[in-house]
Amino acid sequence: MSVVAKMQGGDAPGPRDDRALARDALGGDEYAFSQLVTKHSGGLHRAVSRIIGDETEAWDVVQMAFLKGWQRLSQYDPRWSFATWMYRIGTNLAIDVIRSRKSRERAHQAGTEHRLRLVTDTEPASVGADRGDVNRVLAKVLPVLSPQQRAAFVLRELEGFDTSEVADVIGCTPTTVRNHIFQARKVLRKEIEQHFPEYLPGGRRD
Amino acid sequence: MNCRDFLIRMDAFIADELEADQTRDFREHLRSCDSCRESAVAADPVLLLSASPLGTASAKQVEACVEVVAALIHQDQLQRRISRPRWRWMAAAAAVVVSTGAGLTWWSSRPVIGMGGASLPPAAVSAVSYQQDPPPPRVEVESPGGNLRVYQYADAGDGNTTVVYIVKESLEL
Repeated sequence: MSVVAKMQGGDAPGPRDDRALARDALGGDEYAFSQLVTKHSGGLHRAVSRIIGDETEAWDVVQMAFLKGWQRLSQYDPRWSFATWMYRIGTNLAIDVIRSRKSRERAHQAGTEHRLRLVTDTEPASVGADRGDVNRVLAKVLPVLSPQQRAAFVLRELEGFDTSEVADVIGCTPTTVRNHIFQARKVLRKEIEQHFPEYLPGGRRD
Repeated sequence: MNCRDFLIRMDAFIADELEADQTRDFREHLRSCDSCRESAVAADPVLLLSASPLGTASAKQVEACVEVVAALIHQDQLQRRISRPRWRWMAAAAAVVVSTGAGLTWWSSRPVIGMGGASLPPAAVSAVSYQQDPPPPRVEVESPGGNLRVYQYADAGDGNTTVVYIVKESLEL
């Protein structure tokens, strides 16, 4: 029976925790792995799409991340959270995408910039009014950061990971993560003040 | 978290000095309270980004992702199944080709092929004279039946080496 058919069918077992599912998947249980994909693909997609700045491409990255996860299940250490392990694979792939597709990203940024101009010219922005616009600000300012800074900032500040979890995910020390975030904040503060004064309280438009 | 606690903890949040649960509460309040968000962004404009809503993928998108991952896994398994035996057969074929080629080279490099009982060279012969005038190998041919012919080559200079070919008569040139 196919994975999808099993998901739709009635022979699905009860809920199991991630480690048990990963153990079953290592034994060849594709349905167990599909449950892990169902559980974690949405969150991983949100983080990856913020890191690479492209929602559609982010799904490709997420799918490849889960394929790699399946291929490397024997390397998964159950002492780790499965989600953290998958975020590690997905974040590394996202960083590779940023590094290897710079020209494509430049084109994407140009499009985003154009859309932003359209939005800010016609709608007065405010901090509380339309927070969908905040995502557009993110799309504009995050590409200024280095791939490592971007991954650390997204995971820590947007996804709410602990500093130690971020360190596990991107493979560095917590001190390095703090340094990445400190540098990222400095750059982003400047970018927001320069390009989006209308989002600041009181609309500090220079 | 109430608004008062939020404002008290803002500096600690920015400096990454809050406990995990306090950080989580701070973020939730930042996303949900407009007036506190304004105060936070006034203190640090980057907190505008931290207030971005957590979007969620639709059930349809997740289901599509599950399907694609399942397909990728099946494709990967198929590729592994196909590639494994192919490598085995290729390795076996390569071994046969190399050994046959080596045997033929050795055979064709012999200037004279005699039938049986060639005399052994003297034990004291020098390496140079050996290369210039190699002794002929001993060749024995048997026909054990079943359209087979067995060639056995024994190098008189090296008593440890014997090469045996089993050839189908119908395939001989």
